[in-house]
Amino acid sequence: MSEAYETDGNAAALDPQAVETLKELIGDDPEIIRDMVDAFVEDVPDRLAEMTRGLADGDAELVRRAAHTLKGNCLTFGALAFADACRELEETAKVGVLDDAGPIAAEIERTWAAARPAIEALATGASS
Amino acid sequence: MSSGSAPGAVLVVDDDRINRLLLTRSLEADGHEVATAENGRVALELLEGNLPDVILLDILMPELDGFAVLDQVKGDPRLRDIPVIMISALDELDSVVRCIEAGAEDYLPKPFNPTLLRARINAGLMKRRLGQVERERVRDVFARFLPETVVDEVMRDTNGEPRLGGVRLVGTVLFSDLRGFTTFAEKTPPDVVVDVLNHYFSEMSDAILDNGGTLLGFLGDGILAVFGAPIASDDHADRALTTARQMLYERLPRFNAWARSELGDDADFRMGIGVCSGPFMSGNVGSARRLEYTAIGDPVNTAARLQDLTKELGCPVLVSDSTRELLQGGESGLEFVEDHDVRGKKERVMLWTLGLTTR
Repeated sequence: MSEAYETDGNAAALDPQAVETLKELIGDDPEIIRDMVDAFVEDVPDRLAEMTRGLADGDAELVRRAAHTLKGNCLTFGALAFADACRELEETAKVGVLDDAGPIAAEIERTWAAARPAIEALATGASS
Repeated sequence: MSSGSAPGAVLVVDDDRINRLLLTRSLEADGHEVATAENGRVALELLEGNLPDVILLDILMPELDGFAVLDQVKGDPRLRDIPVIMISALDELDSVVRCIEAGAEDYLPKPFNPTLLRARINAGLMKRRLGQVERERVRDVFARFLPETVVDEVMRDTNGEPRLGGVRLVGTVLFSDLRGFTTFAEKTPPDVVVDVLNHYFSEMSDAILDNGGTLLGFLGDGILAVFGAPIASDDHADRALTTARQMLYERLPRFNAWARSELGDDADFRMGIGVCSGPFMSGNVGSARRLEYTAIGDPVNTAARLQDLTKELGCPVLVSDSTRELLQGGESGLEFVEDHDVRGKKERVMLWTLGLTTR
């Protein structure tokens, strides 16, 4: 399971197929793409805060839900390493054992930091 | 972008703002009208207003989750025909199966695939439209003999089936006959006979349906109608008398005026009406190929006999005492005629008629 988030080299890049699918869904209008990217970039810190709060309070359900939502959105934007880390945390939280979750949460923060520039670049059209 | 079929109204229910945005943009690009709800509670509030053609429903949500929303939608006659497509992550297949067993139409896996999204939405819209066509067909069947105001209630009660189960209710039966028509028909060309009869039936059917009556049928030149069935009501006797009054004193003169303009000055038709209240059974009877809504019981027979008695007693309308006793309104305008032996009744029946001048 742990190899899932040892994809350091890829963490900064977005899956081109996922980006293509996203554009097929919402169209090529730069304004709409910017809306989507802004919404995601605004939303991630809220989910990360929920995750941190859940870990601190031992609230496995809150952690699971935050990781689940993050995972889905990461896949939409093609941030696969970020998504893998979220999936790992979701599965850990689903079993209700949060003792080992610290390093996974740190990996989520790290992969988000790595993927964020590429996601923000979508909004300016730099990566298309 | 072309959707491949006519656009519709879609309700997107998902607690994830990104998903809501993504689905809204994508569906709007295909021309659909999109409403969104961030949880199940908000979704149910929205469903109290205009109905969507398809619901896209996330499973895991705060406040009220997708399972609960699905249960409420499928348990509500007003909502249950709306196709519901579950939104789910690929690892939630157990939940998807549970939802499909509970009545969900299909599911849409996350992350969304544009081709799959379009296919699911179009299939949902198609199902919704076929359902609406079928509903209209059933509605037409009921609207032929039920007043407009009752049709929706009956549609709810029968769950969209074009068949009314038997019920026993206290209501009022009205039986009418067009006097002299048989003689007229014998010496008149058939096309004119049919034209005159159709004109007469249109006038009288409107009087019955406008007053909330249920039209059971035309028998030769006779009309059988009931008030207070298939949906029970308290004022069936009052509405039957109002109808009788309108038939005799508004509709018949208007029909005669039309008949004179078509057939000449000596066209002058008369009517006899019998009205009787009491318990009777009503429901759809017949075979699978021919189905009629009918009423069976003593008031039906008595109303027919009272109609017949109008000739003998020289009143255009005869109303049984049972109808007078059930009147809810104040001044009925009824005038006593006499106690009469009515065939099939053990006791004499007090008979009343409608005065021309009152009400």
